[in-house]
Amino acid sequence: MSEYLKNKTGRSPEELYQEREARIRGAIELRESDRVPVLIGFSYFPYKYAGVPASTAYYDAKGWKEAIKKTVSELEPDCFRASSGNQSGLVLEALDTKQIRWPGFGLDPNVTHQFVEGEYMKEDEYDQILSDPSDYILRTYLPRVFGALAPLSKLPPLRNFNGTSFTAFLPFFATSEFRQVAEILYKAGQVETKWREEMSTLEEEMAALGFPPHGHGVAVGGAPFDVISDNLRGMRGAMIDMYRRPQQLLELCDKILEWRIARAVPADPKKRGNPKRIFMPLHRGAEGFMSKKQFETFYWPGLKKAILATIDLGYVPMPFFEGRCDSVLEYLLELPKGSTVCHFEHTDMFRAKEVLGDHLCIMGNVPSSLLQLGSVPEVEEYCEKILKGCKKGGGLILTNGSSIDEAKPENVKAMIDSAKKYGLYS
Amino acid sequence: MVYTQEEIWVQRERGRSMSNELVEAIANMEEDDALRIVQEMLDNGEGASNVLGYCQEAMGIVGQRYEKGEYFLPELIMSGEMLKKISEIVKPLMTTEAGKSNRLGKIVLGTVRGDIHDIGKDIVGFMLDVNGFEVHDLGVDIPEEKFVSAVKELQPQVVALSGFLTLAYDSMKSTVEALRAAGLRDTVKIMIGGGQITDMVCEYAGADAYGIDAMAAVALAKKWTGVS
Repeated sequence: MSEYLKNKTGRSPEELYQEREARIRGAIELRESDRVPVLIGFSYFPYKYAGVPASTAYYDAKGWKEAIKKTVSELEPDCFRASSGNQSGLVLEALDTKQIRWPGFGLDPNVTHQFVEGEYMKEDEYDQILSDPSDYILRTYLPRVFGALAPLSKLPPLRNFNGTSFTAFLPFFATSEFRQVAEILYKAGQVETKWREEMSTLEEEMAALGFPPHGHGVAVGGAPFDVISDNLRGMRGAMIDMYRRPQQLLELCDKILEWRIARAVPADPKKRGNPKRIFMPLHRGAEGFMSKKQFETFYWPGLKKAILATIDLGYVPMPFFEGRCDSVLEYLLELPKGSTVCHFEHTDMFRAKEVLGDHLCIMGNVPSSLLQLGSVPEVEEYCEKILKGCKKGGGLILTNGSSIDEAKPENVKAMIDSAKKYGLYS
Repeated sequence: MVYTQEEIWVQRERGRSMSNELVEAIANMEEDDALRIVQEMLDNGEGASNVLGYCQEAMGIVGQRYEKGEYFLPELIMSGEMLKKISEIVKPLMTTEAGKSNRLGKIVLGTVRGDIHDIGKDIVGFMLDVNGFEVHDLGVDIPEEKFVSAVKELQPQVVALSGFLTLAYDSMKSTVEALRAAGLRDTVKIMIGGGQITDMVCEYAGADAYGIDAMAAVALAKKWTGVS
């Protein structure tokens, strides 16, 4: 593939990598480079493009990497984000996972994954998770969200095992129930290790082909409110908690951030592409999901702390603001200049440019519906408007607003080519 | 018990102000107050179906505040929670099946094939119900045939299709086509909704309109059933 790209472009992958990386850095640092960079972010788009089932992302790490390589190499964006291939289907099956359904198991092999939200943490369990989080997670939460770990609810709390009293507990490990859990964990652990080994080289392999990554890592995550809304209480639960127990909700947001900061991994200066960019999905602070007052109280403080902590760890956070965020753009001015890339879905890019243009790089927002149902001229027209209207002074990356899983490949190509046509800085 | 005229007048005035208090409490998301007032009203002999009537009045205010951009999803959900709690107190005391008659129209609602998202659909269903429609919620991941048989059986005025994923576009289109093939397309008005729905999707799917949120769904349903 290296040879193919060298023949096609006349430049080596390393030269192309540096060129593209420089373009993206320029955008982040609010400088005009040679042109506006274009990034494609996807979960399953390579399945249609490369002609493989979407379930490949869960069952064939090598195959999925090849599909991504083919897709990105042929379409030639400046940057890519692959938000897929990070879970092994066999592992999810072995654990009897409740929170997600994925292609190839319980779903058609050619559809996207879906979250199964629920009130996995009950409304009267705030005291438990706040006073003894590890106990809560181990003996209450994990048994609920992974069917295979249900026996863990039979464990006693571990906090009394001082001295040698632990031995009194050993017969539990000899039960057939626990033996089953141990075997599942052992086998799943082996599969997971192999899966990670395989997938962890994706960004390096793509870099060798000339494509810098959007970036993932284990930093601090995004808004702690989303953790509660997505994974613990569900959307309904978190919204009700804003009314019924706001103090506990805020306390848990603080704690989640504290726990995450404690386990965060700083950006590695020895690795390629420092400062490293890092994806940050955001969900429930969007317009419609809360009022400005609720955003100020429950969402923004935690998100701001998370972004600042991420920057302190040596990363460039790339928060992805799903939905519309027009009315809260001003809050983003509280972030350090040039520190963050704000990815917008339905937010008005022109308003974003007006508010944030001198301060933060913005990215977006070619609509999923346009890329899936529109024509090439319609895609070009939309991209041209964004590029011409928002490219001045740098600080713009052209990308899809949201999912392109079902997009027409020629439309994605048209978006990428638009940046090369209308995104030039003279 | 025998009351003097004055006692009756005081009780009536108190009842009237209590009903105002209840409507206000619900509309202001004051759950504890709302539940306390409901209990007081019932203790004072207020009719169970009257209490539900005040709830509906409060929901009207909630809907208006939502349309004005003062209230958002949390308030729709919280008001749903309050109504659920109030219903639990009140329904066992009801002697007649009030609220089922005089419905403004019938609506079949569901999330289309391949999509299991339900939060948006549930909120739409709740707001339609509270605004006087008879809602038949089929659930999630509903194949075309199930929509067709529901429409045949229930003869609704409106079909509401929900979908969050981009794959829903095709499921919505094929559901509309299935209704057409069954000779039912002209008997219903079809609305679609979901996070990624636009005019382009509405045209693609062959629906009559799309609603950006639950209140838009209510407005469309009222328009289509001739409610002013």
